[in-house]
Amino acid sequence: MNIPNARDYILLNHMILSYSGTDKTLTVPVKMNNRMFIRIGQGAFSESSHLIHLTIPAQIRQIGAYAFSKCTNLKTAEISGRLPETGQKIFHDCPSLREISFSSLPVTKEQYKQLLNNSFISEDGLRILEHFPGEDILGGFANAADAVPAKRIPRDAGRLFAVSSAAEATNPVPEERLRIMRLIVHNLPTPSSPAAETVNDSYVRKEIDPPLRKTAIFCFDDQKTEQAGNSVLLNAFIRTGFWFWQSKVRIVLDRKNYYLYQKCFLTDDDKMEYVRVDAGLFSEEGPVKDEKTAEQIYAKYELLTIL
Amino acid sequence: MSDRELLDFIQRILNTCSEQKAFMTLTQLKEILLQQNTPPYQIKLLENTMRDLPEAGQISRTLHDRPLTEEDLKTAARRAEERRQRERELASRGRC
Repeated sequence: MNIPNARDYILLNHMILSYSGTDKTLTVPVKMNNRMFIRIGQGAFSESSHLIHLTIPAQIRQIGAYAFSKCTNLKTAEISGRLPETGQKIFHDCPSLREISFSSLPVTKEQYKQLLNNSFISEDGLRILEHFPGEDILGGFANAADAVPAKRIPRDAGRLFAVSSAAEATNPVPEERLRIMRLIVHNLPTPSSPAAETVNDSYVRKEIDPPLRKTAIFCFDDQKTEQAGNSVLLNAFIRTGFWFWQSKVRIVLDRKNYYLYQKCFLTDDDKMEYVRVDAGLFSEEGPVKDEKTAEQIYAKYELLTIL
Repeated sequence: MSDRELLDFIQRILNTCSEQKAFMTLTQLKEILLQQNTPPYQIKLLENTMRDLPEAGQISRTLHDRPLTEEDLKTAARRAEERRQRERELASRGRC
């Protein structure tokens, strides 16, 4: 473990205001000079061009906007414990970032409980994606990463994203499919118990922080509805997607032919909120608005409360 | 926080951060100080530093071991005002 050099830090109260060191591997210090630090100030670690591997310890409860922005060589980030409260675009303009790893879940217990009732389909999520030509960011494919044929990925789909379990991390999906970044969720919860190896892969397509492209689409597979993995990953998607994109989220539940469209945004007090925009059937022709189906979807999945 | 401590904070930020990062950090510092009922003149000092950031940074980096003073920031403000004046003149000429 690296020992923090106090001279690299500007500290105030319980906050790291600024870091100007040259560490390649860094664990954000939570104790220095007998003082505890639980907050990272906005832009505090930005422009740390030496930084390659970053660990954010569980004690950190708040991360300010743009905290790790412009860390041009940052490749991996590991977030321990619960996901801290985060400001906007904490990994803004980190073009080398390939992996964000969660050591635990970015969901509250209540959210998780609700999420258990929600799994999402799309082994053939690509079919769905084809209905959004030119859409900015395309979403995650749960289940059978290997079954997603790379050649079917639309060329204009931007960068490929994947969320996977820790087990998957040791058995990575083929690189040509995992084009850009992998999000890893360790220690998936197990009330209904998916062992890590049973948790599905998921993909998200994106372009990192495109200024004018602000939609994420997530497609999941509910083949293992009783298992928590997809739901958990969904939340990870949304949270991480939100960090990057701060914008709309579409969610498609393919197998049941449900189509759902949500918009998420930051409220004035920096909280996330999601608003239903549209919902209905998803057919071969694409999404078809259908209020009755929409109501059923919302009733069944309590989506407004979940998200 | 005493005036000296605040100036030390400002100096460290100016000396170690790019302009953009310094702006973010000073903004964060201002937020913290506002929560602590810091005297308005200290907040003003911070705001002025943010306004005159390029010049304040330039001066701060030439001080070496000497601590930053309010006089230094006043000098930065003067130079920044001169720069802005020049920019305004150039802009008005461009419009003609």
